Amino acid sequence: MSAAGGGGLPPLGVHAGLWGFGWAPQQADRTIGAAARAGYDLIEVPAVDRALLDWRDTAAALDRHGIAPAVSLALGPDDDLTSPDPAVVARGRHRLGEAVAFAAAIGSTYVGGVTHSAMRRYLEPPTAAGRASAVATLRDVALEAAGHGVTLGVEYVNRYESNLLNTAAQALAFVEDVGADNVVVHLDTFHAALEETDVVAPVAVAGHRLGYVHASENHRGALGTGTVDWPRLLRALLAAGYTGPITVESFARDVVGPASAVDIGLWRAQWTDPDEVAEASVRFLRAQLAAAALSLAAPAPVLA
Amino acid sequence: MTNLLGVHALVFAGGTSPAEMTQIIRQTREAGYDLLELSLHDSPALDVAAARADLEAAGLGIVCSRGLAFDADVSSDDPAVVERGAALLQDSLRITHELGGTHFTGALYSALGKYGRPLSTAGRANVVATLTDLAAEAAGRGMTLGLEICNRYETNVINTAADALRLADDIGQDNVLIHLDTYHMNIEESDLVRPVLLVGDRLGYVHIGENHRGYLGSGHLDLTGFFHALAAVDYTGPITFESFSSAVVSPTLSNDLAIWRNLWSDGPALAAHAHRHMTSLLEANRAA
Repeated sequence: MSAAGGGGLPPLGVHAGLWGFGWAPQQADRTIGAAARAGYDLIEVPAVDRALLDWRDTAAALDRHGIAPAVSLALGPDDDLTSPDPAVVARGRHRLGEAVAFAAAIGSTYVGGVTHSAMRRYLEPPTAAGRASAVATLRDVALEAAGHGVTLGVEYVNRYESNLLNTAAQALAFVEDVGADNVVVHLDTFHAALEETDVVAPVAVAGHRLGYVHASENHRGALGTGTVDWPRLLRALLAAGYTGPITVESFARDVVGPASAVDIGLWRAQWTDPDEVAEASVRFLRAQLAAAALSLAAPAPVLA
Repeated sequence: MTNLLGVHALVFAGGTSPAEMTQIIRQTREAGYDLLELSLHDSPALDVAAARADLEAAGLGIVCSRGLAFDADVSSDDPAVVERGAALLQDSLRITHELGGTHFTGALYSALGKYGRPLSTAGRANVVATLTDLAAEAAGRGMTLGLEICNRYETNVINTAADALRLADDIGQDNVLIHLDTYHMNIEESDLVRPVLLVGDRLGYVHIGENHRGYLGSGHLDLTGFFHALAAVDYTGPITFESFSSAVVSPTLSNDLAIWRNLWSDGPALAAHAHRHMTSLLEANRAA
């Protein structure tokens, strides 16, 4: 990632979806500008198909507002790498390749998200053949990404959004099977709060393979309003020497629009003003990071 | 507090055939529980009279639960779909009564699954009308209905305690109570304490499940805080342990609940541990 945080701390990012998922030039410019004004080092932007949108608009807006990009996507039922249908897998392969090309074009060194299976409510357990197909496809994409200097992130999600990767242990095993240096584990605390022993367990499990973090509350509302143990998480990340991005993710039903609200399962309004949440969240994370850094710098207590 | 402790049948077996019911009832008793919660998703396989006799012989109480299905959903706009949902509820209420139970709970208001649209005003009105009728029928049998608050991936009708209280208010029957589940609360609420205080004396049933639905204490839930809150509102109702693993498979419910991982393989050991864990939390409450 080209972004850098202050004082040697991880760079702080924000998911563009905070302002909604539309990426037509004007909305993209507004969102990128809002993220920069709120004080973020990085914005996570949706991977767009270059045949549908001109990447130059995104690149120009990033440059204009002075903020670094990361790129993310979630595969769906029509381009699911775990599908038994080769045509479906081929569409997923194409979409990932497009995401890598888009990232390289706009100056992003990262493409992450639900890159392993469809983000959907599966109604059957995963299969060995489906997993093998996803591993082989990502190995191929990783080789292509390496040529662009792009790292691929494998974001594990909760049981309702994937049947394949629900924990850091599963994601790490998957990444090791892909076997490419530019493939990393992507931790999201919303999903971890549902699936893991606790929110710091995945930091230890993923180790040096941890490449990207989504900071998200247990209910996906504004940071600090839920049960995620932020002091523990941030101390664990700093103690582990993590220097990758920490990107705020929170979505609101009335901001993302009806179709995305249904996709994500947002049935109630948790907040309404994205600028306010963006500013409060970056203040919150900076304060929490500073406190975590202080706690690690403090001398150990002397035992009598 | 004199809370009865319960356990969900899917800890022991995936179905409700006569052989499975005999096993479930034996293992529930052996693990030290006072009552069994049975999901009625598989009710055609159930021999009601035999199960009741087994439960009575074992000295166990019974609570039944269920969710609905997308083609039999009382929150639908389609009267035929609502009618099928209402029929399932009537049937399940009758089975609960015939088993000797007084408590019928769950996602009685919705299909158990990821919705492809938000709840409509007409759909919500259908929930209120159907459950008002069901509550009257339950009252005639001295029974209570529970509104189990489920997470966003399992229903779009009620995800929080505040949602559930509004729905119960609209139903407006004294025998419709709120059912809190710590697993769902972890996904939707700001903490595990305030919802208990908000619901107060309208709390009628409690599910204890870890954040990942595995062994109690192997997750991060603040169960101590939750049990303190139960004491604060003088909750004396049942407390039922719920846990799921791919090791015990129901042909329907496992996929409905998205159980992909093996979090444990020995149901009786898990149940005995959960009983000790919950008993210990209740003892600490009494000592406080």
